[in-house]
Amino acid sequence: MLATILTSLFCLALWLWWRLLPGRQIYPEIRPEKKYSVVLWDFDRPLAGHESYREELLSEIQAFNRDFPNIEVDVKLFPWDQGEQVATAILRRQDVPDVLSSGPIENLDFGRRVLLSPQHLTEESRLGYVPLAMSALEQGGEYAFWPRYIKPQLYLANTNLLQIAGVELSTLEQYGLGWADMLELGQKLSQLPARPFVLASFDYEGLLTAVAPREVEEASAASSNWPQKAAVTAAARLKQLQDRGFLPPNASQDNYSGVREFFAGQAALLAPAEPWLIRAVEGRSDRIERGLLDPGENRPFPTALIAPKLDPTSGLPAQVEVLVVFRRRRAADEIRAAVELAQHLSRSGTLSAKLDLLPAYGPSQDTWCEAWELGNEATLLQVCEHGRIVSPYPNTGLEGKDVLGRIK
Amino acid sequence: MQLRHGLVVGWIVVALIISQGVSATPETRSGLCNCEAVRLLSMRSPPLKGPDVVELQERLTRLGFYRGPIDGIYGSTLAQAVKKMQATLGLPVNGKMDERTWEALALYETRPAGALLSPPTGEISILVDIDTQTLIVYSDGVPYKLYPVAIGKPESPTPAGEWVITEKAAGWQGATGIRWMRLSNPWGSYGIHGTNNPMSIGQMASAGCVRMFNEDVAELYEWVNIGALVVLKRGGTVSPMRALFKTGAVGQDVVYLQWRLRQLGFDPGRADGVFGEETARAVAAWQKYRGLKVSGVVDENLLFLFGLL
Repeated sequence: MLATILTSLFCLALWLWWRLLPGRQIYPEIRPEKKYSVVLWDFDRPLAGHESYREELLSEIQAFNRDFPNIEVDVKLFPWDQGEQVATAILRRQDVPDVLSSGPIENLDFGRRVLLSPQHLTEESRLGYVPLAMSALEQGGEYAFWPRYIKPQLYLANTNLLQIAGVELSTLEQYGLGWADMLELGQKLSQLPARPFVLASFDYEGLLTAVAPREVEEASAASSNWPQKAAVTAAARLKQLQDRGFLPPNASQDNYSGVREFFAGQAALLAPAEPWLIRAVEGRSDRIERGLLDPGENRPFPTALIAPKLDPTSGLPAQVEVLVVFRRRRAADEIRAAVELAQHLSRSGTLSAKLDLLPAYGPSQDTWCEAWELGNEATLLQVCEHGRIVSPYPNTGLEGKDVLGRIK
Repeated sequence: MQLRHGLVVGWIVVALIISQGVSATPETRSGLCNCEAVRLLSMRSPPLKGPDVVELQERLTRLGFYRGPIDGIYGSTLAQAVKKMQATLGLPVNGKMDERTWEALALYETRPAGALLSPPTGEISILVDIDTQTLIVYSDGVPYKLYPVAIGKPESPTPAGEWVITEKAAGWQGATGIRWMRLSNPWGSYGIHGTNNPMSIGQMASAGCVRMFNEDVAELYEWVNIGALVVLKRGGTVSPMRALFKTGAVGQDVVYLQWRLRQLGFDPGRADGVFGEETARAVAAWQKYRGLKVSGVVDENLLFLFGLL
């Protein structure tokens, strides 16, 4: 009898603790008669064609207000280069919004300030998001963020060069491109009279990611920095490509390393190809087609997207922008108002195409495809359907020239 | 914009000019810009030849003074036609196309001004569409009036860009007509001006300046102040781009780079053809946003990514 009473009291205490802890309350409803206020922090972004990100964002919020007219959203936009300052302000509790769009912030470890969302991001609602995005959202075993945009990194291939070299594009598209494939491609390209390069890139870390995606994954799993072993492996591969003449001569430089070779048809692969880069390549072809650019000798060529060869459980180098809900309010329905806003923004696909990013929410992809207006969207979406995400560009702590200099 | 010609109008205009005593200097080239020389034509031995003679023959044919061949030779038939025109316009009859006769011919050909509009009350800006050879006056950003213009020949193209008016001058200036407004272009002397050859309006005929009918430029002149924005817009392919842009670079290709940056959402300030601090900042912002190393310098790699190479 006593045991039963004690058990009941314990359960009651447990329920009260759950009920009263901010952000842990039973999922309450928004009360139509109550006025809510939600503070949203986001980062201003450039939009092509003279459009304003603020206006686009406000129109998304207007759509949100059609469902929740009694939730007023107070938007504060920071310049893109102020990511670190904003993160620091939150960590020092100087100021905290209800909802933060991560934008340029890389380290989102805000500890207990973040509202974990097992009861908000239900299994049913999680189904709508592409698997690649969902894999990035766990923190301490719980879903901590709402995914917003994805930036996967792939190889963009000059299919003319692959064809001339006798490489089967369909095989690469099906199974991905691995290190052995890259060496084989280099061997075949070196037999051609013009001796085109295998790989061009726009920065040194991009090259490391391109030649060693598996090491990126290992590094990502281990810490935010490249383990020395992984860095040396990746750099050794770069050195091997360079010694064989498979890389443009300036590939060891820290900044741009041979983008022009790709556009001039002198390199078979451009990597890592993020959506903006794919759009830049396709956009150039489009400008030439419309008579806005005379390409001279650098005629556009057909391209294809190829994923890195990774086993089915491995991840794909990608970045995910997320929405974070903070424990800023105590009333459960007020927290719910912030959650609703985060969920709404994470599901909108209109802005993602204008920002050269992929929508994290599957049902938004149709809208995204219409707005993207360029090819390659099918491949981009396909790669998001499998695998899990790993952080690209882990910091080697070493300058490119230093690493290559050590590998003799 | 219908062109109309009339003897009465011509008489009035010419009489007006003569009565005002506008100078007829022997100068054959405008000192304001690079516009073509106005050659003094007359009967000589051997006879004068050239495209300006062809142009004169065509113009006098259109006006009914000349019925000879369009052969580019200043012969006796053409000299007779010139005399007939001089007599009609009340000029000294000598059969020579001197400065005064060229000017009188230009004004005689000039169409009468259209219905006068009241002066615009808002802030004036100007858009010249080089492709359609039109000039649109905006008042507070709203189109107010459209004029036909002549623009540069293919070998001397009108500089596209975003300029401001830096100087205004009134009075007959030979090839630049009765009004002149200098543009802030940093690599040449270009302006918006009138003409001594109204028939060229609507064509690629100038040395890069924007030519207007004299009465049009006179009207515009009154509305435009020093500092007014003038956008000269051209579609089509971009001009050849240099391989490396650094702070201080000047030229038409810088304008295209500045426009492209703006299209991409990064504001380089006014597209003034100068790679200055604002342009470098816009380039750096693009590099930062794309996660690339920030240099503020544009090389071939970036030009390819911008779609300019």
